[in-house]
Amino acid sequence: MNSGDPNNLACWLLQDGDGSSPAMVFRDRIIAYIEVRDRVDSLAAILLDSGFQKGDRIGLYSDNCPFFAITYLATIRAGLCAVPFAPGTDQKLFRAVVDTAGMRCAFVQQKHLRNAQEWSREPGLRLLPEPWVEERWLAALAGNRRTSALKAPLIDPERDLAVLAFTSGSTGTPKAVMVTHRNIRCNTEDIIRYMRLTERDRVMAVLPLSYCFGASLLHTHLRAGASVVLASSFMFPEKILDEMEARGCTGFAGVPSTYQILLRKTNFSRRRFPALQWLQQAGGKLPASVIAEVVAAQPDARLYVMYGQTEATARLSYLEPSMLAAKRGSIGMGLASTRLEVLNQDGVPVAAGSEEVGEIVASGPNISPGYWNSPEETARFFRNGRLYTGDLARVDRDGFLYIVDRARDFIKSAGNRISPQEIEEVIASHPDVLHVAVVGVPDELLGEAVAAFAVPRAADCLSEASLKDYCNERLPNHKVPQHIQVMGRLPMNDFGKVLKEELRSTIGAPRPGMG
Amino acid sequence: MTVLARVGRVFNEAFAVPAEAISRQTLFDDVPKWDSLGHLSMVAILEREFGVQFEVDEVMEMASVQIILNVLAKKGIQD
Repeated sequence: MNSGDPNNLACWLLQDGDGSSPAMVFRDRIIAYIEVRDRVDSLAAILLDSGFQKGDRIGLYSDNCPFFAITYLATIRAGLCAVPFAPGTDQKLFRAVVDTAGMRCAFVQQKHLRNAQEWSREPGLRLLPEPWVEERWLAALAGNRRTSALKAPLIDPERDLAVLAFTSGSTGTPKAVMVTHRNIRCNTEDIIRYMRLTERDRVMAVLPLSYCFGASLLHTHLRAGASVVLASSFMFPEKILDEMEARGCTGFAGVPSTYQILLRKTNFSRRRFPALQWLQQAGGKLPASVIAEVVAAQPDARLYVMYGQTEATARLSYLEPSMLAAKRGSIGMGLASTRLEVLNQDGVPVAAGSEEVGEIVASGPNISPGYWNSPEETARFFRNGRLYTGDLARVDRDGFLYIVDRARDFIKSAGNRISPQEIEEVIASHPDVLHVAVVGVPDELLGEAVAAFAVPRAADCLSEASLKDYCNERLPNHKVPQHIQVMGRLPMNDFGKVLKEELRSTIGAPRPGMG
Repeated sequence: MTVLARVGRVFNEAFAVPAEAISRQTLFDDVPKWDSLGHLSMVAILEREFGVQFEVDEVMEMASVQIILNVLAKKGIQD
């Protein structure tokens, strides 16, 4: 790659990596920076030759693999906007994404081609399958096409979109977050700094790259000249650990369910990873007792507990690992260039060190300009350049933030406001519990009743009665769930976030004798 | 019919992929429907097809066609 447009995110990300160093590892393939740059430039030139115009939205339907990373970077390099599909996309979501984004073309990994062909007939979407990309790359190599042939449109980093990121949150309605070149660049710089990433780092990336947390791993490691080991599924977690060990990964990143699975379903706590230096956790609150287990499992690794949203590119805050014990349960403080405020209903900051709870409001260069083609939704969550996160928190006297809950998740039961997280923490500390979610369900007497859904570590190792006893011993009466259900799996979105709306709907009228 | 071809038939039933598309090199993440639920139904069909029972550890390990063939071979099922 010639150094290219300094304002273009793809140029900036690939600028410093040493040509002969590995940028990506996938199965038995190691791809050096020089090859990544060549492929990205070559594919960007082909896209522009094919008539795409600056700002066109290009879909990307692929699991984690080099095809995803190369087509993503090439799309951005060409001044176009990448629109990744989540891995478990079904026909309904596929069409919603195509329609909302106004997409006319999509890259498709071979494995997803049959579905994509079937689903794209009606919208008339042009598909660019994996072999198409590979053939053109080989042709470009044969023709010894020089990268100077690439004349990409210049980027205005504050206005031009690099990515349109679909987020379903926990409600299920997809929204398209606009992410500019500058958003990603600023967030990437901040993360590299606090993680102290260098070219010697190597992360195991098993979180989907279509998810902002997964994408942040790619961005930060490429910019640092480090490498990314790509894995497309967490279905066989022990194999992921094998690969981490074999590849000498220095880092690992996961959401709460990832860590629960590592602790309950693998030998994570009995294995040693000589190269491992850090672990990242975001994507929801990991109960404090589980955080302690993770630290005990890998005492030589720094654990970063973090908080973010797609609307903030990826990351909003982190807790310095040395503060984990002193600030138990905290999400830390805002990133270097992100300002976090906790505002009460009058828009006034809550008093530090008090129990007062307010909404986290964020501002800074990583905050998205808003939702694509949705001025009403944008006006609801983005006001005066600030993001209203919908997350409720309090602030201690040193300025550390503690998330209490999502505003809409609070349970209002018999006049009490009950935080589901507090009950989830207790249940998750049970050694036979793999996942848990607590929601409020309608109840004639109480207004709302507390309902807990738990997935056992192994079949038949957990009963509803024993969980009830466990809660009775540890919680005041009004917080002990009236409904407890042990089930095989929780409804989750592709990024491991529990779909609480779906759980609420599984309990209709309260069961006799339990309301 | 070879063991591989019979595994291909199982994959066809479990994941709706053409049996002939399955090779020893096929990994779980090559097959769109091979997720954790699909895995369990594939295991059940394998047990029926070959008249065997798998241990939990074996089920947790079967992440590729080659591993499935190895596990079957340990149970005396091979060409």
